[in-house]
Amino acid sequence: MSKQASHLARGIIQGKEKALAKGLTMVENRNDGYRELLDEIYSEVKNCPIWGLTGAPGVGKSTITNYLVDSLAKSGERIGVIAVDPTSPFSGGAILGDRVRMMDLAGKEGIFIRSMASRGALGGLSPAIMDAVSLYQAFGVDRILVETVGVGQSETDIVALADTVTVIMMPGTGDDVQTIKAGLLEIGNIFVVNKADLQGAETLTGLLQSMLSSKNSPDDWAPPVLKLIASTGQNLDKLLGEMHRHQDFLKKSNQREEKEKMRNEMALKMHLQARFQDLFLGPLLGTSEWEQAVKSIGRRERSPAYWAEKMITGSD
Amino acid sequence: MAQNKIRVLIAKPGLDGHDRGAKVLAQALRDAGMEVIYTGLRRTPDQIVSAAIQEDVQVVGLSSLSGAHNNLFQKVANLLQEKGYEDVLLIGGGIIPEKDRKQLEKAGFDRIFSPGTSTEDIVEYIKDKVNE
Repeated sequence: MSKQASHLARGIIQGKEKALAKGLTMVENRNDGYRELLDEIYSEVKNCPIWGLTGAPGVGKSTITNYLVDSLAKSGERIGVIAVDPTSPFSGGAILGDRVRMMDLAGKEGIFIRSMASRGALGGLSPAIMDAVSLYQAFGVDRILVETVGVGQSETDIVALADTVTVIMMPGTGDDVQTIKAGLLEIGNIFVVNKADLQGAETLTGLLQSMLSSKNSPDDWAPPVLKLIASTGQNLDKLLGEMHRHQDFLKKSNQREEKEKMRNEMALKMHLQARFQDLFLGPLLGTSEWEQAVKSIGRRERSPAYWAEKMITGSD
Repeated sequence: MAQNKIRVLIAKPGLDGHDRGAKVLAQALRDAGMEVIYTGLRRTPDQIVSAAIQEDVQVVGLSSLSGAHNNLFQKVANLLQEKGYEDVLLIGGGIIPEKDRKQLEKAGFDRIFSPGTSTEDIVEYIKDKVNE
C-alpha cells in the first residue's frame, strides 16, 4: 500500500483542501498509488447531485457556471467544480481558461474549482474526470458542476456522468441542420439560448422548441428552452430554478438510481478500457509483428482489420 | 501508465490591463506540452494563491507591466510561503527594473525574466527546474 495514497485518502475524507488538490493530481496523472487512493476513499463517497453544462467554446458556459456556483454557495452549499478544456492533439498541452470567468469565486469558502484538460479522451470526458467526481464526493461537497467543451457531435459521456445536463447554445453558429445533427438535442434536459440579445435568438429558440416537441420524450420530462443573457445576469435565476426542478423530477420518478447505475457502469468501463490499452495495445506497439503489419497494410497485402484480428487471436 | 504533465498558473496581479505577454507565454507553454491555467486580468494575491493551491500547479508565473510588481509579487510569494507552498516554482516577468528583479529573486522568486527573453528560454528553464 502506497503511504502517500493512504495519507491523501485520510486528508480528503477529513475535508482537507490540500489533500484533495494533490489527490486530484494523482488520479489525473495515473501516478503510483492512484488505485489505492480511489479504493480507500470509496466507502466514504457520498452521492450528491451532479450538474453538467456543455456547449461550444464561447457560448457562455463559464459565465453561467460562475453565477450558479455563486448563488448555490450563498445558500450555504459546498460546491465542487470541474472545468474541462481540450488538450491540443499536436503538443499534448492545453490552455485552461475557465477560471478567467470564475475568478470572483477563487478563495471563497466552500468552493473548490479544478481545471482539467481532456487529455485526448473521446466523447469529452477522460476516466480521470469520473475519478475526480469520486474524490469530490469523498471530500464532502453538496453538489458538483461539470463544465465540458461540447464540440457538439461527440458529447455523449456527459449524459452518463451528470444527473442534469444543460446544453448551452447561442445564435449565429450554423443553420438548422447543424442543430439537428449535433446530437445535443438528445442529451439535454435543459436548453439555453445565451446571448439572447443577438440577432437570431428568436429563430434558434423557436427551432429548438419545435424540434424538442416533435421528439418523443419517454420519461415525461419536456426539456425547457430558456433565453438568457449571462453577461447581464438576465434569466439566470430561471435557469437555476429549472435545474432544481429537474433534480426534483429525477427524485420523484426514481431515475436517480438509474443515473447512478449508468455512472458506475461508465466508470468501470473506462477503467477497463484503460487497462486493456495498457495491457494489450501497449506491448504490441513497435514490435516486429507491428512493423510487419504496418508494412503489409502499406503494400495493400492485408487490411488493418485482418491484422488486428490476427494480433488478438493469433490465427488468420 | 503515468501521464505526468507540467501544470502552470499564469496570473496578472493588480490593476494592469496588459496581458498580451501573458497570453503569448501561455501559448508557448501549451505548445511545449504543458497545461496552462490562465487567471485573467486584475487578480488579487489571495485569488492567485487560492487558485494555485486548488489547481495543484508546479509553477506560478506572474506578469506585471504596471510598476506595482514589488508590492504585489511580494504578497504572492509571502502567501505561498504562509500556506506551505514554498516548493512551487515561482517566476515573474514584465517591465521590471534590474534592481527590483534582484530584490525579488532574493525574496522568494526563483527567477524574474526581463523583456526580450525568448519563450524558448522560459520553456527550457521551467522544464529543467520542474524535472530537477
